[in-house]
Amino acid sequence: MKELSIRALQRSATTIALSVLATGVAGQGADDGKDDWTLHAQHIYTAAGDAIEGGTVRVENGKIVSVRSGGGSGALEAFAITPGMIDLTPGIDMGHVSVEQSTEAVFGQSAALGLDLFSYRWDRILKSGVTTVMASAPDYNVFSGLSLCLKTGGEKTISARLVKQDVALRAAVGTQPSSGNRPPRGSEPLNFYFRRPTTRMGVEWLFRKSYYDTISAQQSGDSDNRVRDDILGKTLLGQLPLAVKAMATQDVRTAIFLKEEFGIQRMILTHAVEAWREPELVQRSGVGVCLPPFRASGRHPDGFANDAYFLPLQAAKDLFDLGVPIALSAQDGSEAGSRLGNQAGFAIRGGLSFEAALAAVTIQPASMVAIDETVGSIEVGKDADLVLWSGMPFEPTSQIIGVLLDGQLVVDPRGDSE
Amino acid sequence: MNSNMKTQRGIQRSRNTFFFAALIALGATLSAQTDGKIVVEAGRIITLAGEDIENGVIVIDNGRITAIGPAGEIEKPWDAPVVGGPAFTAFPGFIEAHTSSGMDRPNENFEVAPFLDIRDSIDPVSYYFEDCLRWGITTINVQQGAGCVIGARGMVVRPVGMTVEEMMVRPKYGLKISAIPKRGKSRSTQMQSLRYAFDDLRRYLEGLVEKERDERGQARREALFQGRDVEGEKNKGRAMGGTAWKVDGLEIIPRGAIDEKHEPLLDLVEGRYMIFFHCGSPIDVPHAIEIAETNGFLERTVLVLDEDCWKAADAIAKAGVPVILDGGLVDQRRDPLTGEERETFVPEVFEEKGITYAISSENWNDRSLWYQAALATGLGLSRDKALAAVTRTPAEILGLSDDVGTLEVGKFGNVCLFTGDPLSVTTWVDKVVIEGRPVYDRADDVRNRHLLEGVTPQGTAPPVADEGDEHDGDHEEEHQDEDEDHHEDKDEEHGEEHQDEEKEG
Amino acid sequence: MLANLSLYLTVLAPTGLLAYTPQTAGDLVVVRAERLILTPGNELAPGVVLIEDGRIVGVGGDLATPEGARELSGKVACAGFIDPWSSLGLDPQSVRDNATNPAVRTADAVDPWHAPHLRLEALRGGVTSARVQAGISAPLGGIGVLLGLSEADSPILLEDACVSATLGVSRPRKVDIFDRISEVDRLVGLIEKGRAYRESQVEYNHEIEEWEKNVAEKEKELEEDFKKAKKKREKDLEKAEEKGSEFKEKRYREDKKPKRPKFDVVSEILARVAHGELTLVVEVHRSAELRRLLTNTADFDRLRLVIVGATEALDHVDALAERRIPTIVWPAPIGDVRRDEYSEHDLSLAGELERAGVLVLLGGGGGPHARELRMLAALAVSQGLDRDGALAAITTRPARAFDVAGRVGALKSGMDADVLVFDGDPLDTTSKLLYCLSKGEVVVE
Repeated sequence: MKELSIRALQRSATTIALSVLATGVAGQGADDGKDDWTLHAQHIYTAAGDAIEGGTVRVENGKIVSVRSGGGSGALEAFAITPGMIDLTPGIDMGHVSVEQSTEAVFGQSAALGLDLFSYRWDRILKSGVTTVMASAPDYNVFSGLSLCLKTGGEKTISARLVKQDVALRAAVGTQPSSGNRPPRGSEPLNFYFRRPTTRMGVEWLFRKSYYDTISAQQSGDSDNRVRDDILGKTLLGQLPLAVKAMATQDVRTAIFLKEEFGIQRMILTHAVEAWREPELVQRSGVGVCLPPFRASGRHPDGFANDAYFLPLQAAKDLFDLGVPIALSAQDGSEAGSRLGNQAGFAIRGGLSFEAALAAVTIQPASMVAIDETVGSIEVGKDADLVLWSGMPFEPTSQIIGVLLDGQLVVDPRGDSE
Repeated sequence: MNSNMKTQRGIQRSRNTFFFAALIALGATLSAQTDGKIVVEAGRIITLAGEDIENGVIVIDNGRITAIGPAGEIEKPWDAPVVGGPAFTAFPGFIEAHTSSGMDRPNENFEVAPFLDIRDSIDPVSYYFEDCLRWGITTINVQQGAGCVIGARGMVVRPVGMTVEEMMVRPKYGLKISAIPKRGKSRSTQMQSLRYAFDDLRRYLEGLVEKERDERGQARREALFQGRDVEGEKNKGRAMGGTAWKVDGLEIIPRGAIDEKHEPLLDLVEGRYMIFFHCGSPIDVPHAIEIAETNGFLERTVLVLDEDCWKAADAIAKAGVPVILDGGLVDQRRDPLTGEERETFVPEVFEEKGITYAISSENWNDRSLWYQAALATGLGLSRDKALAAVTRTPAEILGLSDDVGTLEVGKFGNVCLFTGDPLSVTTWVDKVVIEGRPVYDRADDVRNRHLLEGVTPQGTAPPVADEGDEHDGDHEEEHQDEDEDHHEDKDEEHGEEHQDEEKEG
Repeated sequence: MLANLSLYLTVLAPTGLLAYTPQTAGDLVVVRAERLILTPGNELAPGVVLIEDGRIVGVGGDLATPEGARELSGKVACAGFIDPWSSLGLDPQSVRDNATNPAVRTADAVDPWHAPHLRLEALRGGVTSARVQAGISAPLGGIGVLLGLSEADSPILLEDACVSATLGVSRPRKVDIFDRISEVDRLVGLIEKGRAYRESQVEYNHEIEEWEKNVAEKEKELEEDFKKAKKKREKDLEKAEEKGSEFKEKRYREDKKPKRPKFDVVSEILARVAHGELTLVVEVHRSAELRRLLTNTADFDRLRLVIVGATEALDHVDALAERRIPTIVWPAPIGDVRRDEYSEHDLSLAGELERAGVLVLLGGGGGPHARELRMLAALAVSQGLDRDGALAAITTRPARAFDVAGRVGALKSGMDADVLVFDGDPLDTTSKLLYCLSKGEVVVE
């Protein structure tokens, strides 16, 4: 008598989900050893120099052991291979439930605490070719704690997936941090939402106050918040980048002026829709810019400000030509056509060269958060995070036919993967 | 709220200024040649009716293609202007199989409003039509949105013209019916309204016939009584056509006596309109087929489908109707029990079942038909099929195959000149010719420069207010000052689990 | 209707329930049980059921297994359960729609693609059919449907099962008693309107017949007299011409044609209710409304009433028992969501009603889950409901109340093969459901 147990199925949902991804698990490791692979493609775009025409990549024990031209065919064939892509602002946060409500300036908490690795979004991002992401708390606070970088697949624990802990301090200027706050009205003065900034300038004030207090504490030796001082101190010393969400032109200016005022060494502007409007300022400040997804209308609504900002297609190229480090992001886009690879395609449409677009989704975001020693390009010694394409990468007519993460084949290019 | 409205009007004004500036640039070219005679040269001509032509020439006269072939074989008329060159790839314009964009508002409050015509709602100045030119769409089937029970009559237009008449390719073309519940309704009440509309029509017609018969009978008796000669009454109407239910005796009613609310419905039942039946979920498909079959217009029905209607593909195959794929190309669903994600490439399902399908960009205004076709290729559809789904097949479905869909002698001279392969992300539409008239040149496209470079040309105001996304109904995306924000994930909305779990009460 | 059925065939194919091992219809199945419950209180021990082509073709103490038949055996076998108060298998928006009226058809809300796992769960709980309702909380719901829960040929057993209404459910709770009473009056008024509508239709039919007869006779007369009339007219015309006076035609008078009563779709359906052709299912909890409902509907001698909820029905057992009104009770454990916070809800309700002579049925409360029905029945038994009565309350009684007693609810030759096989007494919650057959197909094993 067969007993069907839905509960048993639910318990092993993980296994099922993973096994669906890794179809042909039985046929894995066609080479010697379980996770050793030889990949061959007509074009290998390493993001570390010139493309290799007709080359092979050898992967062993989760690392890349060789990259060379020639080599005949391998177990896995593709038209092109690129490094696994990296997204600094992916759509995997858990919404308001992971936002610290007691204060607008959160320093010591890591975004890792608020992640749900069982969310289906991880699988989606992984299948879209993004192997590493920077996970941050949602930007409802002025300072939202520490972000971390982790892989998008593998065992569902933070420790197994961790690439680097505490890669950046997350901050935001603009309207989002103040959007949930109300000015005091009528009774209920004890509601803690009332005590927080309710405008853009209030947000900036809190930002400035935090740094001011830290610097005062450093000078006087007396501190009311040692965690804050420690972390903000690191940003001043350049040991920790500050990743700031700055959508509108005025937000970009505010962020850069704050950087220059306090001497924050490393800053990344994320969701930076209108960074292109301040080219000289952005260039001279040395900030890195992480762009949002491109939209055909160019218009990016800001629900919190009841406003909209404009991003032209050429923005990536313009910033690149000025020498500004740029990264691209898919943000919440997980549908076919809106994924990170497609964003690189649009950047190319706007005039960016292929190599620069490739870098903007691989080595550049990696170097912005200092994880470029382990990921971001196809080089010997780095993690075996690779994406196999059926055609020219980033063209909408191309499909991602294979993904390797830490040497594990998570999307199999051989036979049916559906 | 008031200040908002004023700003809106202000925005409207500056938007119009911007557009008119752009249009003047375009208009210059428009007025230059008005007789529809032109020669198009291209390094490669994709005809979609056979092999591509290398270094080819298309001759268009009186708006139609009179010759097409390799440059050496075609004689070019001496008095026709020449556009294009070896750097370009010529391509028949894309055909938008179904859209509700380009209108003042896509939906009407009336539930059953087949007496309305969207020609009164199309906005020739809308950005949508400008975007069509920019992306190479040259024929558009505009229909009412899905927020109706039975909607207005639609039309097929070209994206050029300052008035609706200039834009018109086929007026009074098609009627929109929606199985998706209109706001405030559920599926069962929507179906009731649909059935009721036709029942009401039948009762109305029967009532008319009965009344006329009674009057005639009485008149006859009166004449008999008075000793007058009885004249035979001529039947001033037409017997009821159609393949389903009929009202006996309708020929005695002159068609003009049927009120304007019921007349288009009668035409519908008699099979005179193409029907675009919008389905939002698999259960809508058998409902739609039932309504169409019972009321005699199944043969003229085209189903407009949202993503997950592919599950009802068997029913569609059985009914033998063509479909327009209105949702995204890929349906992503999560199994509520196992949490497993399942992705279905929708066109492939229809391909396998042998159902005629066209791809529409309605829900993807952002990227348009070329992008849809490109993505479809990447997802597994062959290049030929992907291209057909946005050109030849919509032409077929709309009954316009004689005029558009491919580059062949006798068809409209609708040609797009691309800077490269139409499906590549690096390619742009450089010029567009519609019925032999050059109507778009990227060099003069002011707004495209804005979209590409962010440059606002002097003398114009930046187009701040955009069409934005389509509304299905008239709700505004308001963001309230709430502490909590909902990341309403698309799947969670479709997610079966959440709704069921609550017990009634 | 036929179109509907065949569409469902093609439509249900790709749904893919998880535990499905489909066998083609036409298969022979033999069910053997140590205890065969034909109807509660009527058992064969041991018993055998022979099934062919989705129907029960034989029931007996001992039958030989024919060749090619699949044999299933267990301790106890009984008919599949029927949940008479459910919204399973329906599109949830239609269920919640409070703007329904009897012209809305629940059949349109049956959505085979929506949550198929819930249907599977129900089958695993032994529920093989359910009465479902669009607008389940609406003052007047759509026309309800008896739904079979498997993917067999036609999921709908009976498309016009009943008209539903609710009293004191759809409106906000803090409503005063006179408003609540007026809801009852409104409902009864609508039924009365339906009855009057039907009467006026019948009257109209008589009148029109009469009138047409008269008119036909008259016309015949006129035709016979035409020549005379014509001659007379010509003479009169001449006379008038000679005299120079105006010629006036004779005035013709005839009886006016009787006017057809204006078509009212809701009254049409309520007329059927008033005449007992459709059951009226009313969800009512509180004593005052229930009393008024019972009183006011007593005048409709053919009205078939079913009460749902009946939380405070203990005050009215006499009327309910006397009129044999099926009363559907939801024996939900304490702590469950109540519809009406002003009423008490006691598990012993079912037992007490039955002891007072009321015809008690058990239902799932109108939610999309039906899997707990067996457990709820067991709970009711623990609180005083008679065992056989509990089993009848989820099999034979709902079948009879909703006019499908010839098809489901019992194990009799000729009925649909909805059979359950347990390894113990069905009302024993430790018993396991070994097999569930729906229309002859083993859908759970």
